This record gives sequence, structure tokens and C-alpha cells, in this order.
Amino acid sequence: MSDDLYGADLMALARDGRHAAPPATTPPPEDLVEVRADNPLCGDRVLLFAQREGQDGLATLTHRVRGCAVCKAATTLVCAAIPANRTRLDALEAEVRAMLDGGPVPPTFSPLAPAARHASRHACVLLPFEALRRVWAEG
Amino acid sequence: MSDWRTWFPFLAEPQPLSPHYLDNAATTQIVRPALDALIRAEVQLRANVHRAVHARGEAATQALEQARTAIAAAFGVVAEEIIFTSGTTHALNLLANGLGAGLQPGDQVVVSALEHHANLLPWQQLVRTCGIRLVAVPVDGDGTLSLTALAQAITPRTRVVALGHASNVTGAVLDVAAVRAMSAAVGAKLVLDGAQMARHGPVDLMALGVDAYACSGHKLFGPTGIGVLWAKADLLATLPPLLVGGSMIRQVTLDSATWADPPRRFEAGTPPIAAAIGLGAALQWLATQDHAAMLDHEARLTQRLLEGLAQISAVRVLGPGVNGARIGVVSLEVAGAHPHDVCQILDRHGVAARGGHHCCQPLMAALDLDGTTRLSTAPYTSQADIDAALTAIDDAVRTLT
Ligand SMILES: Cc1ncc(COP(=O)(O)O)c(C=O)c1O
Repeated sequence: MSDDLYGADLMALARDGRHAAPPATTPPPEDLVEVRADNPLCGDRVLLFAQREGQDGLATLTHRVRGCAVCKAATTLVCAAIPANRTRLDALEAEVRAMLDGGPVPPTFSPLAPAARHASRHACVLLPFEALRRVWAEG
Repeated sequence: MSDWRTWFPFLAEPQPLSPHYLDNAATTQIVRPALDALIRAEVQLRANVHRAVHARGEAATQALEQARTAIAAAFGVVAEEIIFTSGTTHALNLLANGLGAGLQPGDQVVVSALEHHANLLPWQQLVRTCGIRLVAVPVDGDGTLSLTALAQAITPRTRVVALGHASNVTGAVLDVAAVRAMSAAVGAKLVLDGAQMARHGPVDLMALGVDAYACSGHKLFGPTGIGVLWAKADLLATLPPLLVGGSMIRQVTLDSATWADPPRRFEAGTPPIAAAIGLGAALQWLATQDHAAMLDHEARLTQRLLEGLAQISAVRVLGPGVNGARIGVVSLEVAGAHPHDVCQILDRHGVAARGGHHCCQPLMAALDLDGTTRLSTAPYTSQADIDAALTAIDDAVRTLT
């Protein structure tokens, strides 16, 4: 595994606009839930826009991130995963936390694996999960 | 190359962490005499101060008071006006709280949008507790405080003008004489946050003509956990304490207490004895150095840094240029890259820099920035440190943009 936090895969994910929320000028669908998570220490901010499906699922999930490349890449991965339900989200978050603690790397998160060695960046990886939990808490 | 490097133990480590240490605006490295004094205080002099009748306690008390005298001498003031605090933050809270007791609703305190949160939040508290009006002077597009805007903000209702002596984001140095003229014209107290400037002096507080000054030992080559509030004796005499408890009283009954005179009134509890003694030693060491040569060394390195950054097209530097009134604190923006990513790449090159809002969120909001990447020099900074930083920033630009 590369030692380099800023590998090509991570930078590509950080720049990946596929799950970016449309500009604020577009009128949002009525059932759109908007949530936000901030890291007051570093100023990273993740906005997520979700449409719920059923009790525990999501139909759509897009983001707007003001933050570092690590946070942007992690948010892209979380949006790409669109966890089918909360149980899957919890499992994914647990896997990512374990990865940051030096455990096995969930395959889709391998571009973020080098972040494990940088304790100050763990919060950047976890911020989109915090936001996503709010979709259910607040939505 | 200067020999300041020989005074700093961290450079003698076989493999120092972050060998190109350019985060001096956050914390400077400790100078040998301060470390020696700190260790001596914790080993040979360790005892509580002030009320001891044993030799060890008396020696500790004497060393603490000698440190107070040395610190006072470094700032050109008298020892009774030096209050030991835990740092600038504590000092400014103590002062704002004390001054607040004498302010009326509608009285104004003037700060600027450049302030560190430590020189903003204590005054914000007075809005809630005393009904004062807090007026924040805006900055222009590159983070410069306009003296014209400041003059407009100061009115006959202004009781306090509280500003940073030097900015921890842009490195800009305040024109204290001009500000003093404005504050004096309306009879307002002038308070300076000297956290960044104190080591770039010598800071002669009498010559500056300010009313109060705050600084931190860890930014003055001294230990952490110690700082200083200085204020004129007649001002201190009017202030109530922030903390109450042991050591700061004259008389206590079960339902009342009277306060000791300053400085003791403001030093409740056991002070950070060893740290204060260490800070005294740091300032005594600083006083023996060729200050002009030290400032010149840092100015030349800052110039090298600014000139190098000017060659990198993705980089924009905030604040004063090479010829401006500035210290070696340089904040930059890399277009399209977040400061934490930039700092992470700098770290890969052994360069310690700081990225983020630098406890100046209102300034970042005014400039519409997520944060900046900040590099800051010290007397022990070498040309190799600056060149390593420039190479690392080049790498960051290539990797991140
Ligand atoms: C301008 C300024 N003011 C206040 C402070 C707060 O200092 P301390 O954290 O030592 O209390 C700092 C330190 O970062 C500073 O740079």
C-alpha cells in the first residue's frame, strides 16, 4: 500500500463531481433533507442532501463540501455507497473506524487507507458519516 | 549563519521531529536557559511560594519574584505591574472581566476583524454581561486593518481599544503611535494583545504608551502554561479579580473577603512557579541578545520566503509585502487547495507549518477563506528551512492543484 496520502486515487475522488449537489439555484424537491456536519477544529464542513426511501433507506444522496481533499474524497465514497439502510451505514462506519485504527481496509476505502497514520486527519474521514447519521436523526 | 541555533536544545536532538520548524507563531521552541531554570525550579526549588518559612520555600519565592522583576525589566515596567497568568488568553480574560466591572451599558469597546479569538471573545462576553457595544473594525481584501476605518470607529463613547500588536495571520504590525493618538483623544484605554509581538521587540511598554499588554511564555522561547498581563498600576488598582481563592486575599471571614493589592489580587491559588521562573530566564536571555541582528536575520529570511512564494503562481500571500511593517508570520493561500492538505504535504518534507483559521474565524469569513497556510520564522530558522518550505509548497501545488 502506498504511503502517500495524496495518491492519484484519493485526488481523483476529491475532485469527483458525480455526487456533487446541483447549484443552490435549482429548486430542491420537497422531500429533500439537508444536513450539515462541521469540524470546528479545522473548519471542514459537509453538507448532505438526501431523499429518504422507506423506513431506513435513501433514494438519493448528494453533497457539498468545504474542506480538505481527505474529507472530500471520503464524502464522495460515502455518497457513492448510498447505504441502502442504516444498518449498512453503521457497518461501513465501523469498518472505516477500524481501518483508521490500523485494522483491515474496506476495499472501496483503500484510497483513504494512508490516513490511518495521520491521527489529525481521522476526523476528516469521519465527518461525512457524522453528517449522514443526521439525515436520519433530523430528516 | 547566526549562532542562535546553539541556544535551542531541540536542534541538538539526533533526529528532531519536524526539523524545519516554521510554526513559531503558534509556539516557539524553548531556549536553553529557560529549560535549565525550569528544571532547577522543579528539582532544587520545588516548594510552594509566599507563605513558607523554610529555606526551600523561601528560595522558591525569591526565584519567582526575581522572575517577575526580570520580566518587568524586559518590558521597561515595574514588577508590581506584572501579573502571572497561564497565557495571553487568561490575561485578556482577566483584563476584560475587570474592566467590564467599570463599564456602563452603551459604552464601546473597539476591536478589529483581525483579532485572535483570545482578544475578541472576552470582549464579546461584556456585551452579554455589561451591555457594552462591541465595534469590530473591518479589514480590506488582503486582511489589512485600515487606520481610517479605525478612526471612524473610535467615538467619545469608546472606553477601550483592544488590538493585536502584530497579527498572527498576516504578520502585520500595528501602528501603535497612531492608534494611541486616536484612543487618547477620547480617553479610551489602549490594550494590546502582544502574543505575537512580544519577542520581536524589545517592547518598551512605557514608550509605547499603552495601558495594558498581554503575552504568552511559549511564544517567547519560554515554557508553556505561563503568560503575563501587564497593566498600569493605577488601572490594576481599580480591577476586581477574575479568580478568587488562596493567596489573593487580605482578610477572609465566613461571609466576606477583601483582596490583596496587585499583583497578588490576580494570582489566586498556587502560581505556575517553575514556568514563571523559566519565562524570567527566557526574557533575561533575550535581553542579552543583539536584538537588531535577530530582527534583521528574521527579516531577511521572511524576504527570501516572500520572494520565493511570489514565483509560485498558484500562491497568494495575505498581508504586508516585503517592505511593509511586518514580522516573520506569512499566511498564504494555494488556489484550489485546502490548507490542511498543504500542511500535510509540507509535513512530508519535514516542514512544520500551520493550516486553518488560526483562531481568527471572523477574519477568514471576511476574506471568504477556509483558512490559510501559515509559515513563521524564529531566530533559529535557517535559510535551509525556508528553502525546504518553498520546495514543499511547490510539491503541494503540483500534488493538489
Ligand atoms: C495574536 C494572538 N493572541 C492570542 C493568542 C493566545 O495565546 P495563548 O494560547 O498562549 O493564550 C495567540 C496564540 O495563538 C495569538 O497568536
